[in-house]
Amino acid sequence: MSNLYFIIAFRFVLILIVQGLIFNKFDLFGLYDPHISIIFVLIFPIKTNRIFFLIISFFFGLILDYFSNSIGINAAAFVTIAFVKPYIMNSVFRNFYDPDGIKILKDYIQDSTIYQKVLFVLIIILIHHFIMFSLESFTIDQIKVVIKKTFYTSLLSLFFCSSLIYLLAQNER
Amino acid sequence: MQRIIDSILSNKDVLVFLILLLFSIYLVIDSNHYHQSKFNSFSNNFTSIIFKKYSSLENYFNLNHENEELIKENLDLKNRLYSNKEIIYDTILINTSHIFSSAKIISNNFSYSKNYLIIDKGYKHGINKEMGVISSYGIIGIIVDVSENYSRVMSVLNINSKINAKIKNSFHFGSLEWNGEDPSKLNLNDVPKIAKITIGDSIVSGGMSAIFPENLPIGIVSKIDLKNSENYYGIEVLLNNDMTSTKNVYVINNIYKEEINNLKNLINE
Repeated sequence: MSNLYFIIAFRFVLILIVQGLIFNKFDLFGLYDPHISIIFVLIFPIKTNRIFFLIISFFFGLILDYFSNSIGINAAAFVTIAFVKPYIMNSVFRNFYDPDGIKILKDYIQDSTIYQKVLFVLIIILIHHFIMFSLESFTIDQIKVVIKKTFYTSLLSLFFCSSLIYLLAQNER
Repeated sequence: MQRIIDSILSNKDVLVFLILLLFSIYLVIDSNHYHQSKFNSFSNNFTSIIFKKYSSLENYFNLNHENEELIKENLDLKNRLYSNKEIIYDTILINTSHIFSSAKIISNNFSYSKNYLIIDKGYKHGINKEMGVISSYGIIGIIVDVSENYSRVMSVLNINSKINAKIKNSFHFGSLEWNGEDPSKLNLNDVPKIAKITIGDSIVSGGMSAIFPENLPIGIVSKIDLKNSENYYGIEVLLNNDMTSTKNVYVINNIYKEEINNLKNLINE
């Protein structure tokens, strides 16, 4: 069990540094950054306590906010995706999803259809980005810009997140 | 009771989620000036409508009192007009640097440490940020937020508010602050020890800022505190106007404010 928490702490630091120092400066077409930090929530072990998961996600988002100078915005988005993740897994993977977390990442990748995998990652990314951009603009008038930004950045994040998850799953024991 | 606790415990995930979410949104609003002003102007517009309705009702009951106040003010103005020989009707000497316009307070607060008022004039009526607000007897505050029809005023009863003021006869000036306790008293700080002050002296606005014109009455000295170790007085000022029951106010627009501020910025550079 301590091994599990060690892995979480390791990912916590590593993903923060990679997102904060590399991907935040990506600036594709001048304004789109891929948010690979979402994989922290996506691959978070299911068998941990749910409240622990929520609190860790909150602090993950908060520290990320300090990197990107947007206090509170990522924290809100990360807490929300951490909260909705089990419900979305349940509705996307259906019978295949086990809330006890005996199955590991590799099982999910091998045994689910490509449609399920992409749908799951995309929904989480869309929720995260929508909350992030709407909190950032904080007004109804700019809803079109928010949706446009959410859409393009989500596509970019989807590409990077899926590739990284695939790479991580290859090395999982 | 047991059932309530049980239902809370069974939904503790949701509870933790909501607490964390609200806390992060609080962080967003608290740490960003843009979000703060956006939030304020929204809540301004929303609550102003309610306050306006309530205030129009309240006005009706206060008519008697307001009439008395107006008569007193008229009397005062007439006295000055007919008895004071110093007034010379020369267009050059008439002070035209400040334009006054009237407004009504529709919501007033004095129970917090950071108090704000709302008045019923907005940018539609030519109100802008950093204009001064006074009543017939003293200073009310400074405008901090403007929406279309309403404005938010940072009251002098706000621990962040600092207003330049001086002692009427000795011309020593200091900054007027509130310590968050008594809404009828302010503290005048930074007045040097060499100033001669007695209890009962008048305190007027200093004219060092571009917001308020010089010599607006504020209050009288009610207590003097001289600590030996420090070089400054701690002066307690009893306000002329009762902040808790003022209704009609005037907004001051200094037409040279921009010019003065530009000059100040030039010095800073």
